[in-house]
Amino acid sequence: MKYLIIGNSAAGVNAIEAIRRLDQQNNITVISEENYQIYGRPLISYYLSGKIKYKNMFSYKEKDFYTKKKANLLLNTKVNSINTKIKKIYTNDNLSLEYDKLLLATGSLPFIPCIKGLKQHIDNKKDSNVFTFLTFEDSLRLKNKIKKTSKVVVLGAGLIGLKVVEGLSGQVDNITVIDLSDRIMASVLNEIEANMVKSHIEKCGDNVFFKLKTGISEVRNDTLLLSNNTVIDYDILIVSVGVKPNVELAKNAGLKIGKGIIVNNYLQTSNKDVYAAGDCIEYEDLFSNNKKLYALWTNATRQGELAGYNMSGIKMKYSRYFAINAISFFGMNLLSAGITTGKDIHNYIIESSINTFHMISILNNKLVGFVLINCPNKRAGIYTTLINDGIDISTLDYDITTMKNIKFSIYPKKNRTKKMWQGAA
Amino acid sequence: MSLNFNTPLFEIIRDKNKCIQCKVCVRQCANEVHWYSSYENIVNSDNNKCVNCHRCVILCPTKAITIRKHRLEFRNNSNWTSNAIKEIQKQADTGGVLLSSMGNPNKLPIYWDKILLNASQVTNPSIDPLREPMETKVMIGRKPDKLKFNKQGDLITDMPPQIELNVPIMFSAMSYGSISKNAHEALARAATKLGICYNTGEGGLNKDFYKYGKNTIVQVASGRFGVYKDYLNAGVGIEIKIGQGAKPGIGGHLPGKKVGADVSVTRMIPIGSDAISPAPHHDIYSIEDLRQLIFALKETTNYSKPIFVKIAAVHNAAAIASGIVRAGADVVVVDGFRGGTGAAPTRVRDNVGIPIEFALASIDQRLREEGIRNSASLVISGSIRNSSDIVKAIALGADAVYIGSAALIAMGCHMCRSCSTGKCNWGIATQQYDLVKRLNPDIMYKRLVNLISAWNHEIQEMLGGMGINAVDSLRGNKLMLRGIDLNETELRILGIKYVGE
Amino acid sequence: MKKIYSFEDKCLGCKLCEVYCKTARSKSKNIIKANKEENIDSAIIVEKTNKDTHFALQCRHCTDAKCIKACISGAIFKDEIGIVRYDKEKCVSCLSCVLVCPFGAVRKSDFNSTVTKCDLCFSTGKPLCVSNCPNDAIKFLDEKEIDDRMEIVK
Repeated sequence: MKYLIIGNSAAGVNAIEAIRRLDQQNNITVISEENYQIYGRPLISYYLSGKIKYKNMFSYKEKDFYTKKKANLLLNTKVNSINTKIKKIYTNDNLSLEYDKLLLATGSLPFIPCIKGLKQHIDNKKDSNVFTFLTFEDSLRLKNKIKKTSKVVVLGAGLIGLKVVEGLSGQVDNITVIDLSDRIMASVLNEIEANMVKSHIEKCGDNVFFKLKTGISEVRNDTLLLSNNTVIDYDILIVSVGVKPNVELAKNAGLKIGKGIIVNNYLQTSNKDVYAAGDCIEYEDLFSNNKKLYALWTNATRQGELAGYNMSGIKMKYSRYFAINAISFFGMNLLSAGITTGKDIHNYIIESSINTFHMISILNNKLVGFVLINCPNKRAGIYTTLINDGIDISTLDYDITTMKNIKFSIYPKKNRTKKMWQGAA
Repeated sequence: MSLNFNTPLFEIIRDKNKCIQCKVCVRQCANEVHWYSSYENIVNSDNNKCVNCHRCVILCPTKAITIRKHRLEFRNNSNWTSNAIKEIQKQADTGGVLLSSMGNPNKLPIYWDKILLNASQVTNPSIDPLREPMETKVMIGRKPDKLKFNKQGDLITDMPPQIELNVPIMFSAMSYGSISKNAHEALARAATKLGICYNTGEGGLNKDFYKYGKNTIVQVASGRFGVYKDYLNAGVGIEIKIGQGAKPGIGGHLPGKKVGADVSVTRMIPIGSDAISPAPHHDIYSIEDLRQLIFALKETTNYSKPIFVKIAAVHNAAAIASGIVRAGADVVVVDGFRGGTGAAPTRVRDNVGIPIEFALASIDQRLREEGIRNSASLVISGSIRNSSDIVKAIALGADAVYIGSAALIAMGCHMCRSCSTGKCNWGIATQQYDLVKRLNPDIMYKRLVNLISAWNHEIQEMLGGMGINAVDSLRGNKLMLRGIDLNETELRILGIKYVGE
Repeated sequence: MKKIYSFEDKCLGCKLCEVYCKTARSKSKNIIKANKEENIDSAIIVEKTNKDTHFALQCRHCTDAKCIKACISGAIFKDEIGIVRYDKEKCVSCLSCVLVCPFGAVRKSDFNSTVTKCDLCFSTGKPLCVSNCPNDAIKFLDEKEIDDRMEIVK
């Protein structure tokens, strides 16, 4: 039996661990395009700001992780194609490798919008002053490029864009954030919440400006033509309008693709010996039953693990997912999960002040979402679990819609004792 | 009315350097003595409410709390003591009968301390209980006048029912109601583990505790609470309670607030109703009446269990005991004037009854003189404080002793004597759920087992020292006792010689 | 593996466990200094229920710990014994762990940007909260021992 894993981030590495729990013998090979062992991808903005030093970038797993797990790690290697008939892959170094079970953990790629001039600026990698921000390499390059005098434009006021803002703040002259939407983090936050976060960033960030409801019409060498026909200067442009699943390889191998790679409940693709996990797959949303893409670390680790188990012979179903976000900007914490808007959803604002916000969303007697801004001491995981387990809130000992501090004693005695004694399975 | 003569009895001293404001004392005091002031970030206390139960002292993690007698004094007066004055003030305030808990605290002679034990030297060698067998087992019940054996040497006399005790100690009657269910569970489990008995008291027997039946003595008292056929057959013996050392001639009263759902079921009375045990049994006005009840109980239990009759030690206890034995009782229980109680009128507790030492000696003597000592076992109670009290009691003629207060102390009682408030911070004399919880039977039964095991060791040591290898050989052996600081009358009644004689 | 188990019927809500937890997590290990001078969070939480009972709760050291899955920096990890541990040096305070703990037992510190969670006093092997519980309401038991008691809550 030969295991082959393409991709060396959250899903890939957790798959290694899961396989090794069940199978200590057989060969595992991991292939990565990047030149580094596993690192916590969300850490790249912390590296940018200096909060994380170079050596600590790689603390996600101990140095000898791959040796310990007897996994053969091929860095700097791009897989060009997969032949699922003869179960072989071919790399850019003209290497061909056989597999019995293959895992595609290819993650996501930056989404590059169709803007005149943008593509050629990005493709011109080495000296370009236009960046994407998804890999450690991106972070290293960006950190090298910035100067105290740099005028930075960030395209996209989503999570990545704003983390870049936080990472760069104070290290450059000014930062302008441009987004087509009327608010920041539009996919996660509603208007009130977005405004709260935005004003916090404006207050704490060093010369940070927002230009919302604005697009870029053309990217030129040192200037940008905006949709409102004004022109602004930039020294550095960061494109962070989102990510898309990296499905090219799977597509070419003839696997079924929807929004992302299509997998069944066991994370198997349309070919039974090829599995996929992480950002590159689409999966069923807990609430809508629709196929969705969530590029989230936590979900990727879990899927990687499940894929690993299934590849090594133990059948384990994966449950449906929902979005969860733990984000902080300049000390402001934002914890959210699930959905807060939709038909018949009732929102309960439990606490709200100038810089705190605590809201939960109920649909058909079930908790479906919550947002906590600057309430770090709330035990948010209890909410997340209520969403995940689909608990009928009328069976709880407390009315959670009025509860300021969620606590574990919401569960009736028998349940809570059982849960506590067993631990989460 | 704003005029209030109450002054604190105790003073709480908190070491500010040690107090960490953890508020454990605040949470643990059912009397709400301690309170936290968030404004100053300090814990304060109200001396007036303190009963000196030491709960806060013991639980304080930094041992920052000390409780002392309050320094407030009245002008020195050996007659009008501060206690005498305060009692008057209290009665002038309330117009009520003074109530007290636990045993008589007054400075009256403790005769156990005036009796000294013998030990062997040279002529009759002492015995080392660690190397040689030492019997502390006793059989409680009526013994036949004669024993007959067949040719093979087997006993052919029909033996009356006996209760076998591994140690001559039992836990005395404390009702479920006066003490908590957890306290009862600890007593029952300890008795089972030790091979001795505990007594239900007059409160019925909780269904959960029928399983400890082999180590249970059930009580039938004037209120007859919880008495029915299953109950009478649940234990190994039945005790008819005529009187109690702490309040001879007085009945009992469990306030309605302590009668919760569980107590109500066990006592077979409505929830919240006062449980009043009359002073006398309304069907007993003579020894003949008592005999009727004894035999009614024997009939109900098919003559399989010894019947105990418990009386308070009063002036003519010896004659009463004789009557009890003649009425058919298998065990006579005598409770001395220091015996404990959940609540008793102070005047009665402190002034009625006689010391158990004298009652015991005189009853034993009387029964011997009448040739009926073998017809009943003699169990005494009323402030047995340690193993030497027990050894002395046995030498004075007892078959076994009951301990109550000592068992409670082992379970955490600090003798604050506030049982009647129902707010026992140690979870003993309370029915309040959050307080009852504080007595964890898993912990407390082990402490009871420890206590009795320790006493058993000590009893063996003292017996061995006297050159005796069985408790049975010590019973009534007054030659092993000498009196000190006693007058001729006292010596005569106790039946012992003076030291040096 | 041994874990701390809570027995609600025995818990008095005195919160001595919190006092001792802070002591165990302090630099000085001195109960007075730890609670008075050092700013330390308790990793054990005493919760009051709607029935006026209490129970103590701390990290359950889940077999399949969600906090480990959520952690982006490797700051939360499982050691050889199975104890879910936290290394504050690696933590970037993203609170992902707080967001997923089903028990709310991983919490943000009240005093700094780290998170607080129970490590079963792994350095001594004797959790201070357990040895100082006055009523045996929390016990340090092997998982197998608790399996037998599971009947009670079934």
